[in-house]
Amino acid sequence: MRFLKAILWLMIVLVPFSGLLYSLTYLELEIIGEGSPIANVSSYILTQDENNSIFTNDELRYITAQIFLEEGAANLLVYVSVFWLLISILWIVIGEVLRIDRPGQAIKYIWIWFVLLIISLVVVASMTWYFLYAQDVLYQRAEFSSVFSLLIFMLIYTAVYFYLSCVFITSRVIRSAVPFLTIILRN
Amino acid sequence: MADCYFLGIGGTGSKCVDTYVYSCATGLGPEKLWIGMVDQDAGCGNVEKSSINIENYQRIRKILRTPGLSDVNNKTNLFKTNIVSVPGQNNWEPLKGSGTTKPTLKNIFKFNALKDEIQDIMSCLYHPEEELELELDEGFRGRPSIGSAAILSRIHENEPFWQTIFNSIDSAKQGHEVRIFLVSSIFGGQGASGFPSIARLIRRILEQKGIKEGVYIGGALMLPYFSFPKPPDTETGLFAYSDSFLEQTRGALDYYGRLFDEKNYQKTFDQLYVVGWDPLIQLKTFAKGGPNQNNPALLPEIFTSLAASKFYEDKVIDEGIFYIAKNESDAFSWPDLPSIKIGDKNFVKKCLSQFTRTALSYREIYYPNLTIDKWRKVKRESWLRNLLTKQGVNLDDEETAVNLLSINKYFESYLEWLATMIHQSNEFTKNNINLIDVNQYSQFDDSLQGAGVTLNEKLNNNQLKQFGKMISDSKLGDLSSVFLRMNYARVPRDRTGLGSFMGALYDSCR
Repeated sequence: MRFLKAILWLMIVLVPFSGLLYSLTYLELEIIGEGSPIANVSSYILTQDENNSIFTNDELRYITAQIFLEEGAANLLVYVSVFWLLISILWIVIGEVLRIDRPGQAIKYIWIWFVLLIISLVVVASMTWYFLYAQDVLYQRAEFSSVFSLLIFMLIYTAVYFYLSCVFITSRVIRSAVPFLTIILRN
Repeated sequence: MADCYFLGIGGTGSKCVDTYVYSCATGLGPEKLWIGMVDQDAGCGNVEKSSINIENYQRIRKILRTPGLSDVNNKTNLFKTNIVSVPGQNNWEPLKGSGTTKPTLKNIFKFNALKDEIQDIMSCLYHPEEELELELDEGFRGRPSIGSAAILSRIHENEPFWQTIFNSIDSAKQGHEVRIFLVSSIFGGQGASGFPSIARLIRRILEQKGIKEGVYIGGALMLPYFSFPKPPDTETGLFAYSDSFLEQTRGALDYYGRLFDEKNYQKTFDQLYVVGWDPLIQLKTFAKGGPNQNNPALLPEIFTSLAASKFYEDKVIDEGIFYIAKNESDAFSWPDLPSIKIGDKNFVKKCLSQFTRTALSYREIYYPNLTIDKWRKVKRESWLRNLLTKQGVNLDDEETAVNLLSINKYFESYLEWLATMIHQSNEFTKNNINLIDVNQYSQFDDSLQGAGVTLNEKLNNNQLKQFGKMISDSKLGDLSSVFLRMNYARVPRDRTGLGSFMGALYDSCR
């Protein structure tokens, strides 16, 4: 029951977090940049190198932006969402498997939480770099500085997600292993 | 709810009182109970131990069940029974106040002032030198005939010890129910004499007051269940000899059998439980009386507690003599303990196992984190915040620290009692007592003085991992399950203060 509740909470956190990224990728939002995802990719992410063919050829730039969204961003979102789900479930499982049986024991496992956080950041950073910049169909099509900014954004976003999901899914037994959580949650 | 009285007579009786107090702590007792002992040898180790146990029980119950301050609530079995005995008046010495000279039958009956013919009768009934002049300050040395005379001559309605019982009997006239349960051995001196004498005296008072219903008398008689070595040659005088136990018992059983023959004898007991043990448990030491007579708790004594609890619990009292036998001769397990509640045959097991688990987890896991110098390290953990801090318990307060320490000491005394009972009886069941694995937390060395049981100072991780397997034939959670439940425990509205924490721990150890 407690495990199911944790999964439910996890979904409640995961859906809006992923949902926001999906919205940026698929929805035409007037308030975001140029108002359309393709226009945004074209204007802010793709290369601004004047010697590159996609800078001079608008049709090619449009197609590249489409590929960036379909092959890059969309795949990235699927993999990141699945990865977030798995890493959070792993934390829930670890909380159960450790079988904390006495006060003061949980804090000794704070290193596990940090290890999971670092794994999350490294994996998400690698995925972002690969899907948006390094994969064959998009190799060096995007502006390096823009992708780097996206990568930093994804790192921050992942860290926020991981911490927030831990707030909701961490068993009370292992709460001390999440930094500041016993100060935030007072039940 | 009936007024319940529990009276342990003699050395075995006082040991059974000790056992019953622990049983009450586990939740096997009635809601309210007066408990007392009749033992001439007030300095006897058994009496002293039981008196201390009663007073400690009352102290802990006050800590855990003072509505408004600290309360585990009425639905919780932990220390359920309100023991109302007056501290310091738990034991009645029949021959107390006989001055500086030690009491003898001669003194009691003012032998020298008696008429010659009565002196002759007394001399016929009692050996003039050995029995009439026997110093009775340390009991009746296995001589029921001496005990009967001494006890009956001293019971008065205005004696504070007896007043409570007699006042309660008066209330039976208004339709109040009173249940009195006596416990003693059949083979000793005081118990064997006091048991029928006191029961008959109560019956006589009932008759005199014209009370025909509402007062029930039950009893548990311990048949010989232990033996002890013969006294050393250096000891002189009259002693109880365990060799004569069986012979004495045979005659006494015949007598009690006749007590239930209502055609020819006046009814004395409504219910009588007879408890025995075969083979006899061999005690290692002999003590004629006094502080040295501090016999270890033995497993058969728990049957008297269960008999009393059943007697108090039953809605209708079935008259008769009851006995029980083990299922297997060389083993002892949970089904060998009789049920006391209709509809819940595992109630005894539940109470004993839950309390034991509570006691051990408190001692090993929680109490060490609640001391003044330690609690801050875990002050933000859910269990502590929800069950103590939010309930207004100030762990820096010295009174709280003393209360927590008292609870720990009581739990330790319970664990020691339980371990003693099982270790001491184990050898005589071919090491096949399958109730609670007391080896997990205690060590037994019968070459040591006293009970020979020592609690392990601090359990190591491997021993703590066995916590879930401590209760035989049970699949109960380990310490991590207990900790998990503690962290998710909800505090009912009627739980307050320290009672919230103890109630949650008790619930978590189910």
